[in-house]
Amino acid sequence: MFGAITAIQWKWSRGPALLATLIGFLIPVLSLQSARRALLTADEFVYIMQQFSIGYSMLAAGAGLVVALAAWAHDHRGRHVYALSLPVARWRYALMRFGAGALFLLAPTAGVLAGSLVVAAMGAVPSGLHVYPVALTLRFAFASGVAYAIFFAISASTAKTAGVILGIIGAFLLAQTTLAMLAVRYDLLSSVSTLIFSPPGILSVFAGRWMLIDV
Amino acid sequence: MFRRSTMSRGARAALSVSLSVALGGAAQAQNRAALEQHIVSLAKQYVSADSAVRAYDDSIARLNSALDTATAGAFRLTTSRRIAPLARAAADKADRGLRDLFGASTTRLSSYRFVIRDSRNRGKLDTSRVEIALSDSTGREVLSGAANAEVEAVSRYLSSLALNRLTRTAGPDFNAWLQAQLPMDTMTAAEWSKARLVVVSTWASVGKGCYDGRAHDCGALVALESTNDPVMDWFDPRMRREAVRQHLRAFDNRSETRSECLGGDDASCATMLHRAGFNPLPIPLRGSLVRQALALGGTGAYERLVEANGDVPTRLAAAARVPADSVVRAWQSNIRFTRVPSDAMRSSIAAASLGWIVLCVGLSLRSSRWR
Repeated sequence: MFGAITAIQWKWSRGPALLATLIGFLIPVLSLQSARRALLTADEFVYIMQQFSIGYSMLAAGAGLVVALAAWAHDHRGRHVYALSLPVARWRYALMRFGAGALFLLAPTAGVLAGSLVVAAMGAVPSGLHVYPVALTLRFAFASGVAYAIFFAISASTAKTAGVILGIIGAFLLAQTTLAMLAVRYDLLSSVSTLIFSPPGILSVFAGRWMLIDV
Repeated sequence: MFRRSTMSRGARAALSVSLSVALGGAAQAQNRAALEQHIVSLAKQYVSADSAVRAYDDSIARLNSALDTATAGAFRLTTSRRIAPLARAAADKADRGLRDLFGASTTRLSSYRFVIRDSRNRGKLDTSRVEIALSDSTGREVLSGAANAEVEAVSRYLSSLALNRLTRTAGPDFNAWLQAQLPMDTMTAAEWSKARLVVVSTWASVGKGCYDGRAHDCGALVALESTNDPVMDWFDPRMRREAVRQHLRAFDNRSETRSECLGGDDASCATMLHRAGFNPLPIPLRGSLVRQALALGGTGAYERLVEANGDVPTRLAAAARVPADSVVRAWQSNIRFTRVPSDAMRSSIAAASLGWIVLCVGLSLRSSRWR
């Protein structure tokens, strides 16, 4: 049954997955091309490479999002009637859906690895700097996995759950506004942001330096 | 100087006449009047500033005369009675740390007085902060600041002030070379990586030569060895042109020489760089060399460094207990080979990510949609 679910889910996800694979291959190569034009000093080279960090994290988040949405899109349209009528435990069904989608994330991950290895092989890195293709690829894999898991969980939940999550976000915004109106100097949103993006926060894998080439 | 009581009319007139002679001509009469006016204005500003500084020094002296004195190890303290226990505890702590490093050299602090007094905020006593200052043998405060009223914070500040003075005791040559305070800690792997980036990013050819292992280039990079003409010896024509383009942007930026240089005339580039006194050597690297020497020397390294007589290589060799070129070789080896794990991936990132993935999967499997 897992094979059937994987095959049908691949049909829904192959377009975005292949596009993400292509982009994942191009980002490292383009970053090296940009940095080579400014090949005067190593610190300038590192600085230019660092500008492309945001591309990796956005690609990971985007790939996770699209694959998670594609996993549940058809079931949402059919109001989950087909899924609930299958002779399989519901949790097992959800787990197979998750597993199938996770497999498709291997494609953009492989794209990032291929692009990084091409950069390492080109030998255009200034002396004193080192290439980290495997480290970057692993980070990309974990980041896309986290993004996929988050959006998969949200898509699998009910509308009530989604409403609760939005309500919590709205409550934080309201609390921040109220504090500001009461002239209380406490930046609630910064504190929450630090919790989320600093280790071991849920989005901490997206923050920090995604450096393919570093000192 | 330009004190109201010492700058006589005659002196001002003499200065004005000499300026007029230099300018020459009847057309300069207008300039002379403007210059005289400018001189008078500058003199007034100087006198005003000087008076303000003297008034401040007098007020500080009056404040400090009401304070108590104490001694804690190498620290001669002047402190408010209310915070005397805090001051002594902080000074004891700082003294222990400095004695571990400098040994008997801490006695060189005896000519200074460390002032710790109450802090005031708009005239009101601020019990959360204290003012800390360093005064010389004449009672004049040479350094000052503030810290939280805690033993740890005051101790850190006292140590910093003491280190500033102890660095000066290493002699004017050493201070002119280092241009920073003596470091109190050893290099971490991350700091070696940053130093490596500085070395390989240096515009001068000695940077690459040092990274590739040429000891003479390393010595030149940290200014232990010199050359007659760094601009010509350490740069090729392309780098000289780029140096003018990037580092001398505000210098003669409309001159013909600059245009000729950027057009490819290397002699013009060299002229501009010589005129600007262009120094391509990264000064922060010298601190890392000192830390290398102190790490090699172990116990007593700081004391040997400040007590040694001689030039910079002699002091470094005394601190490290090995010849200066051995210090440079050890430093170069760390620059080249000390690595830190990549920022791109760490085990903590992997562990946290896996944890969150498992949690989200668990939530999606237990969704009420399925129950």
